[in-house]
Amino acid sequence: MEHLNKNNNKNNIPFPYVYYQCTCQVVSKIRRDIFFSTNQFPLKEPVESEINSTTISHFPPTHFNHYRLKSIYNLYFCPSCCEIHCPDCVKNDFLCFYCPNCLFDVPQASVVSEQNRCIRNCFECPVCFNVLTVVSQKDVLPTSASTSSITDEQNSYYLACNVCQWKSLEIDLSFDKSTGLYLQLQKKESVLPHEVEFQNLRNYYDKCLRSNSNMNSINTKRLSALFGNSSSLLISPSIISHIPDLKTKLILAKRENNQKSDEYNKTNDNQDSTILMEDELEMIRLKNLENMEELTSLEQKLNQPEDQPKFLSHLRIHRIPLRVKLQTKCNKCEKILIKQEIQKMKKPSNIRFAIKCFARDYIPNIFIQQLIPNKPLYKDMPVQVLLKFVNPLSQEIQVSLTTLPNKQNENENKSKPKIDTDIKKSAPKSPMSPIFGRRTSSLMASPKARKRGPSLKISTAPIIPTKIKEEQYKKSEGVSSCNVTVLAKNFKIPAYDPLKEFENETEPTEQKQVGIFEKKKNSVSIVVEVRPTGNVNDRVEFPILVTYSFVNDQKEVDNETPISPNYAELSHGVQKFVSFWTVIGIGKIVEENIDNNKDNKNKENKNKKK
Amino acid sequence: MEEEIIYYDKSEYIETDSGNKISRKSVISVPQNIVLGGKTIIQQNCIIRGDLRRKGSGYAVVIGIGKYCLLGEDSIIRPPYKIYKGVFSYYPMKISDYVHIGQRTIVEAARIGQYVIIGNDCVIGRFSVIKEYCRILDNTVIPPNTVIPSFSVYGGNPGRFISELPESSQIIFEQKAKQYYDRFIAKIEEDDKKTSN
Repeated sequence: MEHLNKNNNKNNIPFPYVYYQCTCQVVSKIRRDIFFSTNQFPLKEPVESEINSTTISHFPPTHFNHYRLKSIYNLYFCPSCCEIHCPDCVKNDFLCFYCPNCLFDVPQASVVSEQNRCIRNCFECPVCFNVLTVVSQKDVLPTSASTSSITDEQNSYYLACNVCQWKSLEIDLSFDKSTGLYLQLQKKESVLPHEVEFQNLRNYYDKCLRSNSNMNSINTKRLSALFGNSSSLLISPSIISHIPDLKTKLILAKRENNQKSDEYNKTNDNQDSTILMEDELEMIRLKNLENMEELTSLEQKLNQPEDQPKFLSHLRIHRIPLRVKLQTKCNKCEKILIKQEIQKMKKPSNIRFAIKCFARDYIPNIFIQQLIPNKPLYKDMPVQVLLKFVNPLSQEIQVSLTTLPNKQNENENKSKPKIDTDIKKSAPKSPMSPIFGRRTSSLMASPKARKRGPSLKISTAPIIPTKIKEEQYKKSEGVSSCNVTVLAKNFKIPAYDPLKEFENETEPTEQKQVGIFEKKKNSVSIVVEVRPTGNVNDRVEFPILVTYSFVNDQKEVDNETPISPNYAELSHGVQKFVSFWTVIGIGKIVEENIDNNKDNKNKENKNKKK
Repeated sequence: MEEEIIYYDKSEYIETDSGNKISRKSVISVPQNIVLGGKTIIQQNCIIRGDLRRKGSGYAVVIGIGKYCLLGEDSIIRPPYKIYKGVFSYYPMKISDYVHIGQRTIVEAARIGQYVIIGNDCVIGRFSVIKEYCRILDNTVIPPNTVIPSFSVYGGNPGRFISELPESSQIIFEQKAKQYYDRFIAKIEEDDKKTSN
């Protein structure tokens, strides 16, 4: 579903949604800010190392990168650096190559030599690019009497397309056997001019390489691969003069090379005249053309780039291109995030994962549970949104939420840019007071974690640019077209326990916190009040900063629980903070019904009068 | 956002012991040849051709359908056929778990793997094989004998590869299939709840 959304305009992203901002967004924003303030493009390394929960809190998502926001299912989480990653900021490696039609694994060595295409019986139709099937001529003959007359030796096979009814007989292609079609086809293909040309070139350069490597013991193979055939130029004259034998050999080799290249060019000249002849013939044929359907389409020409035929009869069948399975790595610490199970001698149709680090198994999953009331959104009519937070970890987590400062009511009628600056001023310049204040208080609660406190402070200091140019922020539209109030800003979510999964007991309602709607096994639903303040048709969406922390109270030996993150550097009992921004969209502001009715009535009246 | 509950008329559907919900308005020919995995919903005007089978005596599983499947309204499930060595015969069809088939879709596939979502108004050609974790967009025509590998999105006419699915599709599809079954509730039950409350 997501791929459809990406292509569409931002305004078409369907409601309601909860999207997450990836860490790479923060990195790119920091780099942009440093570039604007210093006019120097910063290196990637120091910026990435500065990423932690505090720096992330300074960079709320703006409306411009709606495309870059991801749903939780598209995100990965690196357990060793505690960061969210999206498909745009991971490293991908080839795991295996396979044919999408016969699903056979192709070893990496033969992938290159076989031009990334299937070496079995899989061919695609040159007209409509669908898979061709092998048909025996015996089967097609309708009467049973004639089939019996043809013995197996006489039988021949051809390829047919199930979609456009194209047959390989149209290009005079048939096979003696129904298996090993590629080997049969290879003989015919090897006579084609472009294949011959390629083979000639290859032989020529192979010769050159061999003569060079014979010439001296220096590994010229590598040099000539880098600099073409001019390896003799690389050796300085002083060295050559020191080795008398080499000098004569070099001169000899040079002469040989020149001769060879002359020969090669000559063959090319001869071919040119024949090509001219062919061109003229083709022109005559085009002039006498009666049926447009004989010509190829652009797509068909591009599928055969070596000669780009103009007539359907010149098309050739192609083997099916291979597909690849990828393995995903964290681009910071190279830890493997996604790896499919690959066993030798097993088909690549196996789809189990050996390693999977999906974000949904590590960070709190947020769902919009309900809108109260579930009606169209009107301006200044507050709605209550129930946000459900689910804890996938096997530890209890402490969640704290922060929203951007709300617009003041008085500002509503004033021009938009001013409001923007108000928000922006308060957001990046004084974020320390609400966010950090809260953090220290939570640090105070757990004395063990207090040690980590100062390091957090220090690390934030150099990275935040002191001068933030307000103009660049003015360009961005209003961050939110609504006022958001979160009552329960700090709450705890109990650990996920797979044993309790199928129990239906609802927990006793212990001292209910303000703003919490309900508590279930490993989820907490909170109430968020949203008051849309924008104009009609404005999108009601707001960012929320989620910071969650947990204490690794598990013994390191305990590896039984699969979803427990394996924090290497996190020793027993240390509190860890992870932050990320989410954007929650609940709908569009609708014009109020009363007005609508009035308008309609007026229109109707007018129509009646007419 | 929790999606809306779909109510159906209790008198219209038969619920089996294993949780299958089958509309009385659907056409199921020769049910002996059809196996349902449980918690599968067959909506109204579905046609399942259990009668089209290889010649010979005795029972044979013609159409096997896994659990948590959904056969949408007006869909047609028909075993594939071909002429092999001059003999015309039908071949069995296997549909695995968590497969959603959209409305007005015609399926003649040989095999559909787990976690596959097929859109509305599609035609799945004879003997096509759809592997695990796939999505067929609406109005797609999959030509006969096509193999669709895992994690792919197919669309268009003729159906071609469009994009890849994220690795986490299993979770999304499983949730979707289970939630759909949970949301598919008889209308009368709601009234019962109200009276009991």
